[in-house]
Amino acid sequence: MAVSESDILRSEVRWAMIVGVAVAVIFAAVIYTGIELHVNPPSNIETIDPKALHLSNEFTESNLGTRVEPEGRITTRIVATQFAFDPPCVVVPANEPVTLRLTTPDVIHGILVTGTNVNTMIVPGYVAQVHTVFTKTGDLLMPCHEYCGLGHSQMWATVRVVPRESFRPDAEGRVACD
Amino acid sequence: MLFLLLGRSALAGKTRSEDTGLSQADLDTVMEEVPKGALALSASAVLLLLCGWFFVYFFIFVPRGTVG
Amino acid sequence: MTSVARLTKAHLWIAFAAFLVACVFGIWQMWARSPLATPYVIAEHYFLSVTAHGVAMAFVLTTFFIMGFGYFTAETALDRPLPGKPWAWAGFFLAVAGTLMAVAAILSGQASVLYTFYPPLTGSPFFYLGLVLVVVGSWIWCILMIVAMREWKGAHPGAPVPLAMFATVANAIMWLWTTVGVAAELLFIVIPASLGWVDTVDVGLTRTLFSWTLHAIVYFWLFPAYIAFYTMAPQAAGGRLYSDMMGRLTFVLFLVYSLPVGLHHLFMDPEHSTGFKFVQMSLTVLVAVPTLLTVFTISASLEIAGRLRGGRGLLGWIPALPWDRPMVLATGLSFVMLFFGGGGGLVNMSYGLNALIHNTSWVTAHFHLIFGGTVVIMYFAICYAIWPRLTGHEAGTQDAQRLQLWLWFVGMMIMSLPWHWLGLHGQWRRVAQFDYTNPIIAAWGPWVTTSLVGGILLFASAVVFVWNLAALRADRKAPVAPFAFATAVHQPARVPASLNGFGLWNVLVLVLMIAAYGWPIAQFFVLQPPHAVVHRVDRGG
Ligand code: HEM
Ligand SMILES: [Cu+2]
Ligand SMILES: [Cu+2]
Repeated sequence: MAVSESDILRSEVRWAMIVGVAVAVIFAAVIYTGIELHVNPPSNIETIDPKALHLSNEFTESNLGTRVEPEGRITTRIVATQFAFDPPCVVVPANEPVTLRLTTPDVIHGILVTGTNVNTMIVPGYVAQVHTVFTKTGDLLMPCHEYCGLGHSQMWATVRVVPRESFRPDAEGRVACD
Repeated sequence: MLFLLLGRSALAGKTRSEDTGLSQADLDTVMEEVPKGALALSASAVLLLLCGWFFVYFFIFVPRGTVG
Repeated sequence: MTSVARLTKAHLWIAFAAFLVACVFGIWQMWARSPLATPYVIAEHYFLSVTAHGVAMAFVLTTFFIMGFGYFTAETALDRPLPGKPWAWAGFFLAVAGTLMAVAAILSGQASVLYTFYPPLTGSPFFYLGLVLVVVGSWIWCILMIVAMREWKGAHPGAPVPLAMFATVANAIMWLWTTVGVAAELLFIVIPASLGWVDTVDVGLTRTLFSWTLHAIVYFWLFPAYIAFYTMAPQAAGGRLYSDMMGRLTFVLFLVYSLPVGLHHLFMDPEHSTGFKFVQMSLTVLVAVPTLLTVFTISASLEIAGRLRGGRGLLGWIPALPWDRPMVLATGLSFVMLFFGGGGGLVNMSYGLNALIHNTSWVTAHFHLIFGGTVVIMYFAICYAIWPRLTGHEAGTQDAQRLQLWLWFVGMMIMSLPWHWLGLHGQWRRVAQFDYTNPIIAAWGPWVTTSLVGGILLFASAVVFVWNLAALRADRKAPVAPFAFATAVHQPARVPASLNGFGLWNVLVLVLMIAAYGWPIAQFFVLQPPHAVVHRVDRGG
């Protein structure tokens, strides 16, 4: 007996249901990790004037790098410029929540930290913020991963992850590489 | 992959003229089987993709620590 | 020979000239990034090269190929002369002029902003104006495609538009929607900045407008490959298309879901909320559906062919297929690359998971596999299929064509699989030279060198391809049978009006775009974020 058009469509619908289940599984996993493990993309929509970073309280030269805030949170502030990070090396403790805050006075940059899930764009006009916990100690590479001009290939910094015992803040709560 | 290679060597001898005489009866006969094979092939592909995705998620992504 | 033969050939030659030159740039880039000593590597050259490679591959090859193939399809599938042929030539010359302008700006080093030209980096106005002309040329093509379908429908009331043309028009309409984002970015922000009329730009807004274009443009490039899957491969394999209706549905779904998903390129950006990122990630999941439907429908169509040729059992039809025919071979290889590229894509689109690979070599690998692989190998196969109709010459043997397709496939796998690995280990994109004295980077060396081997095979394949097209002149001149697109098991005599036109779908696109992009764009006008100062790459930095 010949196969009719509706038989064909029925087989397509059956396949579409399999497809539906497959994508629903991925969808569910993403929702689960978003809600339960707090895995979300960096999205804090916080603006800052790139033309006046030096006048902001937060991103002045003396306030960059890692600092244990008075209330105990650990924050690392970095300014990305053509074609260097300031500071070029930051220290963070292993196995503690750390907040990275980055911004730029000039063009678009971005960072990743090798071997971790730290990844964000740095868009002029905004503060990029990533909460994370570093688990492996050692010197990690933090390159600028968005083309920002001819010096882009040379633009990278070091994230020095140290064991908690070696993470010793000074009187102001600051920790630096040297 | 393997099929592609095998198929080419096994069938290189056949010529084009063979499939010009496609009759409705032949078509009806093969349509009794179609799309069993296509279903098997595409379902296994999707299954493999799902496994790959979960592998990346739970064995590469999650061990590298949460971000948010 | 068709009456649009000259028009089509003109478009295809521009497309593949750009392609060949871009492959030269590509292979040199691979070399520069490897641990091997490379001549001429300085940053100026490298980023000039990446800009040229990206623009040539993503804008010139694709746009000219799609236009040329569209004209061929309009005439062949509708079996009537192309309306407005002088306009088609006007569009062609406009796009050629635009290409020359952009190329001049790039080669003089005044436009090393890469093909994504993210402001506030700003280059020569000739670069952007050139790109605008290419887009305007393609708009003429879009309108001609729509007109051709309209006129055919007028002459054949109630008859289903042939699938190949239905898909081509779906692509034309999608492209009109797609270019709105980048056109707004260029005309209102980037070009005024490059002409020096404004000193600052709203960077978040420019990125958002670009993202509007950035996903759907990929489907613009992909459409010809899918047209070949549905309307050429079943025929070439000696079978029938399993379902014409699913083809229509697939193309409509592409039109609808390719657009409201571009924010997935901005998952790692600070200027959008998790809410809208999540909405567009959800819509992105739906974009996987038409591709998975296609995999099934085309597999079933090939299964018909394989069984007609005597294949038995669950999978015995696969080895029974005529793999010696370039279109069938290309379809098989394309599907294998789609499997790997699609798998990578699933990772990219998964919201938080994007952080694992964003802006690493994983992404470069992904789009070379899908775009350079799955799509471009079908461009090759389409050329092999239509070239005899365009030139009146039939190739004596198809050995060189098969060799070329295999080389492309093997090269692409060898190049892109190590890139995925490198991306997972943090190798980032768009870098002229890596410092292999750094221990982390030194460990990447062997993988980078391996991928270079793949690049060499790809380059060899590109040369053979262009050779194959050119060499056909010397082959026998034969009366070439008229081109036939595949017919379906049940070739429909009538289809629902909704699957024979685009009115309904345009409304749906509008609604989805307002929902998905309304606030993400409006927020910049409400929030008034601080602007950034324009940074010129021309005028000595
Ligand atoms: C001989 C074959 C090819 C080679 C050796 C090659 C090589 C490369 C390399 C090394 C890059 C990375 C540049 C970087 O991140 O620093 C690149 C980028 C790119 N390639 Fe290819 N490629 C080839 C073919 C193709 C094809 C066929 C397409 C698409 C049709 C394509 C599209 C692109 C695009 C869009 C970029 C991005 C440019 C950017 O990041 O701005 N490539 N290619
Ligand atoms: Cu950079
Ligand atoms: Cu996309």
